[in-house]
Amino acid sequence: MNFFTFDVRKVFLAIVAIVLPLLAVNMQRKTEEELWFTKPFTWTSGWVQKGYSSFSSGVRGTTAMYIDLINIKVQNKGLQRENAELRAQLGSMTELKMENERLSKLLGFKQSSNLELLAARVIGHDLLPDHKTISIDRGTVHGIKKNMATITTGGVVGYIYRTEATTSQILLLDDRYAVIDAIVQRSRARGFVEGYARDQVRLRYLKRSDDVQVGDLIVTSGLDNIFPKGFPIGTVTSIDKSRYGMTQEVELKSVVDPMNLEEVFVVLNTQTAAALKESGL
Amino acid sequence: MKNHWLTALNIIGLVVVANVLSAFQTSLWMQVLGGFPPPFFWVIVLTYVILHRHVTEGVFLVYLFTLTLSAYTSLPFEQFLLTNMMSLVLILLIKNRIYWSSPNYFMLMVSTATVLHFFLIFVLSQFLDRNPLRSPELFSWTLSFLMTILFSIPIYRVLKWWDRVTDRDELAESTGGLVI
Repeated sequence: MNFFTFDVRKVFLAIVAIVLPLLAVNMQRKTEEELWFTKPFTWTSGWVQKGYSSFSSGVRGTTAMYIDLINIKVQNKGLQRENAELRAQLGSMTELKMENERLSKLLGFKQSSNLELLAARVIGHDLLPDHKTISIDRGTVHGIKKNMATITTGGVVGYIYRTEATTSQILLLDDRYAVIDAIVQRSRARGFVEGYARDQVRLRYLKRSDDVQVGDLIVTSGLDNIFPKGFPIGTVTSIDKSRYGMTQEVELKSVVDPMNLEEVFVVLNTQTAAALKESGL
Repeated sequence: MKNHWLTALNIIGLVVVANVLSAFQTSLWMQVLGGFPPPFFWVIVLTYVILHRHVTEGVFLVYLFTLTLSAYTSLPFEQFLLTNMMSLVLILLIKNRIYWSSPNYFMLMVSTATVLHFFLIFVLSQFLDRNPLRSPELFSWTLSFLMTILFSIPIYRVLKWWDRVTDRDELAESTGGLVI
């Protein structure tokens, strides 16, 4: 067989299947940059997720009411119809009451802080279990931009990394691609918080001589112009000081469990607030 | 003559199914079942097109799926594409040696594809990520693996039905593989 006789179709297929993806991977691109050709699909996915979320809320409401009605029927068999209806209403109100209490707490937090906050509902998670992102039902039409901070009453959640008209995606603080400028609250030593492994975050690039102890609270430094200064990220659980290294690595337990959130706040004015603070106004 | 409109309709249908199922996995599943690991619906659809399409069409569809599904994850598009393409090559290599047309075979290949994806994502992360994956979510992957196998047959039936409706021919055993 002649060495130079080859099937052009097969060569083309091999290029498309393996060479192109390999070239694409090797091309220099910042992870936060979004490809223009994926935009329509991101937009579509946001809408589909939002649709599912609305459907789910409706179904949950109906199911909760149905279950409550069954319970009331069992408990109040002998009671008058009027009484049963009142009890049914009371049962269905429990979920609303709990939601009301949660939202009141969030509202109180919003009013007490000087930040311009936008409340958003979590509508989706990441496709892959090793990637920690969530989708919210607010987008560019609500004033959301890329790299805006997201927080909750407990502390830092993550930051916006992809936006669409009515939905956005948040890179959670425990994702491996997330980096947050942080300081030790007690000693003011500075480092970077990164997602490390399963549900773990680490404070890295902290100087070897910096003062940090187990139990210390790590807060945002505000220097990245993304997060407001002083928001809790996590508490120190262990310190790894290698024998010859210049830095020490600190393991943290995040104050917020980002995977179990239902509502978050997007900080709309961090950059303005930071600029005002610096100018002394 | 083969109706090209039906072929286009078939492809659009597959992309819609992959997207609707992925949105279900990322949104509705967590709202109903909370943190319980969901099945990887996209792996099922991806395996289906790799096994039941000619290699050229399979490569095209994997590109299309990667493009649409990358909207649901923070995994960079290029890395996702490489993972899916490597899975395609490996699955076709297996198909070249062992193939029989049945739902059981499909289930077996879906489980292989799920393990391959887990393995490829982990290995590629070691080479391509600045902050590589250190301890993967093994428990979550295992449960998702089992759930994926459980859901593979019903989805296989739906996709087969869609192929029948859009007049797609059954791929002969000797074609569609990777001839090396």
